[in-house]
Amino acid sequence: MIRDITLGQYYPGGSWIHKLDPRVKIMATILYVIALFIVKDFIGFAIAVAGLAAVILISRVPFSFIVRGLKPVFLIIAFTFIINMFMIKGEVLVSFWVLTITKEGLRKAVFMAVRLVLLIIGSSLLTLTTKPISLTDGIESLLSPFKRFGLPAHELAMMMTIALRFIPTLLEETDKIMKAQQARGADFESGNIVRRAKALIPILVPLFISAFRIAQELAMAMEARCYGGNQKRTRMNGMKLKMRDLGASILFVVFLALIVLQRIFF
Amino acid sequence: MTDFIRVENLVFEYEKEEDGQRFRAIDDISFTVEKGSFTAIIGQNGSGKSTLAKNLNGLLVPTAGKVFVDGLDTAAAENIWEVRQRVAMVFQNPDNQIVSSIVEDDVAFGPENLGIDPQIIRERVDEALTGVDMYDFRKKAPHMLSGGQKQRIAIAGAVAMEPECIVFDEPTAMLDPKGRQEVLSIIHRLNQKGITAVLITHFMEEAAQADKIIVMDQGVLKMDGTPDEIFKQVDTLKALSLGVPPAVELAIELRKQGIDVPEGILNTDDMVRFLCQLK
Amino acid sequence: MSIEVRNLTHIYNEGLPHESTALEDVSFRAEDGELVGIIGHTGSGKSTLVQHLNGLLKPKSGQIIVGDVDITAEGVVMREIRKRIGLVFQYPEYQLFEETVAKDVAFGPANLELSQEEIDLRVREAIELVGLDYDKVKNLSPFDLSGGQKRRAAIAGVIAMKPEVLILDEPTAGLNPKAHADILNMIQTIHRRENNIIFLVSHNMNDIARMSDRILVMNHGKLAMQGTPEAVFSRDRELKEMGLALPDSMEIVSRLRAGGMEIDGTCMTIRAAAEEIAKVLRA
Repeated sequence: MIRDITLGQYYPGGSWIHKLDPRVKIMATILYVIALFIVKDFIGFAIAVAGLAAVILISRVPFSFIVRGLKPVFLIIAFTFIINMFMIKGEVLVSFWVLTITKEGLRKAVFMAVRLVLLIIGSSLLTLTTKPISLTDGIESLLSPFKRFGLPAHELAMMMTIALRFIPTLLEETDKIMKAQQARGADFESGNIVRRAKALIPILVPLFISAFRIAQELAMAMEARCYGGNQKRTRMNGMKLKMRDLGASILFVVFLALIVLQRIFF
Repeated sequence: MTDFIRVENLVFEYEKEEDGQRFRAIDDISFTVEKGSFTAIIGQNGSGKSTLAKNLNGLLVPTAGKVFVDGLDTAAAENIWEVRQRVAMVFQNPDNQIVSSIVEDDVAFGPENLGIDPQIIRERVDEALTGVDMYDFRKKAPHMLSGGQKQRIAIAGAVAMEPECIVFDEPTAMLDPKGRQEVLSIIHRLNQKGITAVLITHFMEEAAQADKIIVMDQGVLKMDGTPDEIFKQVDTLKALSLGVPPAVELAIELRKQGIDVPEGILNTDDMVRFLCQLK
Repeated sequence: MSIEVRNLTHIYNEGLPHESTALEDVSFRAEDGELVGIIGHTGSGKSTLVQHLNGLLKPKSGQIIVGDVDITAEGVVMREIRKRIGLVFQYPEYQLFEETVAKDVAFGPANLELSQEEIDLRVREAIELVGLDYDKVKNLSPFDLSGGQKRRAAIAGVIAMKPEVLILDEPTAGLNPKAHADILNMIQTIHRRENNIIFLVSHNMNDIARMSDRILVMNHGKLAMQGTPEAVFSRDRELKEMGLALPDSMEIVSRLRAGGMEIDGTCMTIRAAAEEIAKVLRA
């Protein structure tokens, strides 16, 4: 049951977006987020929405999946909306008790909320269309120029790969430990915060110990398979930029240009 | 027949965490493993068999004595990658030796570490997976597989490094009967193809299928011989808290009943065949 | 005291695309003092079944009656159930967490809200019952014990709750032959001392044959067979079809019979098999 959780919510598919090089997608997502902060009015958002809609259509990921990413942050969006709505001074629209809603406030609230929504949908698209392992490869590749400054890019990527690999295993382990302690009468549901926190010890201690044991055994297995850090490692599934990556990059640059031009001239 | 692995007066000690005292896990043992053979190492917990396994591929180096793999001294730092490429290892816990979240990616891990050309890695991975009957699962996530399937992936990962020898450290201890059968039949298959196999186990039925059995107890090599020679010494085995395979036990009981069962009948198949032609 | 299961059905992921029937209409009864073996292929529902017995899972339909309490009814307090039914999972040593063995074994009884006196008494009893030396281990960290000892300490943690029904899921998994035999002896000792109902889930047919008064055979979620070891293991062809093995001695005898030898009796031990085979050969 818990095993069904796919981290990052990858939605399998063969669309052009799925097939793009992960490095292109990562860079595009980062620049997209920056672009969202360049935008100063709703026309700019309209351009962003248009671009986003195009990507969603091409990716063929169902809309329900995309919207799912908004659920956990719904409270933050609502909170942002409300704060902005009540806090900004200006032309008063409505007033009751101590609270005042101004035109500027309303506008700001909607603006901020829309930006948040677009930000989350955009980032979700990255994880929906890119396998976790491709993401790690992409990040490693993008960070590797910084190796000369001492950044352990390969090691970071390896850590991420292993973490991804073991999250389902550790979740299963947690489930087993919980059931075993419940069978001994442990109660994780009732009581105040302090009580419930204490009740987590019988789960966390065995889990940590398991995690250490796994780490030790895995390290030994990796050594036995001649893992020695980064020296002259090759990759079976190497990343190669293709024509579609070039095409996608050009289209994205056009998108960025539109955003910037809109900001300056319109 | 050449000696692929030579263990000479091996002593291995390690420091105990609590009191800093040194504990001698292996006490002066010597034996050889012939190229292409199937050797089983049996012993109770605390016999030192797992420690011995790790000395065979340089994961541990001797405190005293020497281990030679294909002529290479495992203690020499410059040999370490060569040794580990020649002697691959499969561990007991199916989960904790799988590195990647995609099967074929994990099998590629070893060759990738050796810096092999990606195209050749691709070929090796496909071949290795086919050899363990797991080719159809190459794109799957390991955590969805059964224990036996995971162990087969681990074996494929070892095979992909094209080692001359594979050491299996209690590979079936955590598997159900079906998984155990799958793994054992693959070990046999690989041995028949020419890979030297060293199987560490505490299951007598598994050891019975080897060319040679080494029995360890508390760090000391107690017996070294063919299954026939070893299983004859029932009393010694019992004293070491080790049993004999069911067919051998039956042979002993039948002899008590006056039925003359010849030496060499070590597994159920042979026993059934023998008795049926007797009647 | 008895435990009765009536028409138990459990469905995983109901309504979702990967819905699957884990248990289908399972019914059986166990009486005080019985040791019931549960066997079945991996995925046959054994684990699901035992998790229902102590209330960790709730069935879609059916009832489980322990003594005179229907534990599947509404409003049943789970803590009351867990007082009476103990479940030891596979590799129970992975659940040890306390600073000392005594404290870890005390976890269960403490959750039952017993007096400190009673808890201390039960902890000592339980540790002794699993064959560990109380004075030696009580202040040791559980993680300083050997593998076999850790497992015993974990089992002591459940025994200390003095359950009327004790369920053990593959208690000998991963153990070497000596520890394996020791754990089985320990189970028999516990059974004799407490005279409770014990359910033993195992893949090892030799163990099941040796220890069980009765056997339940699970197959694809259904209870395919039940009966004494003699009765169940004599149905060797059906068991093979279900992908199950026989105890070693019976496996040999079954193949000899297939090869035309007419061997009498069930031969649940190698010695018994040798005697019967010798009879046939002398004739």
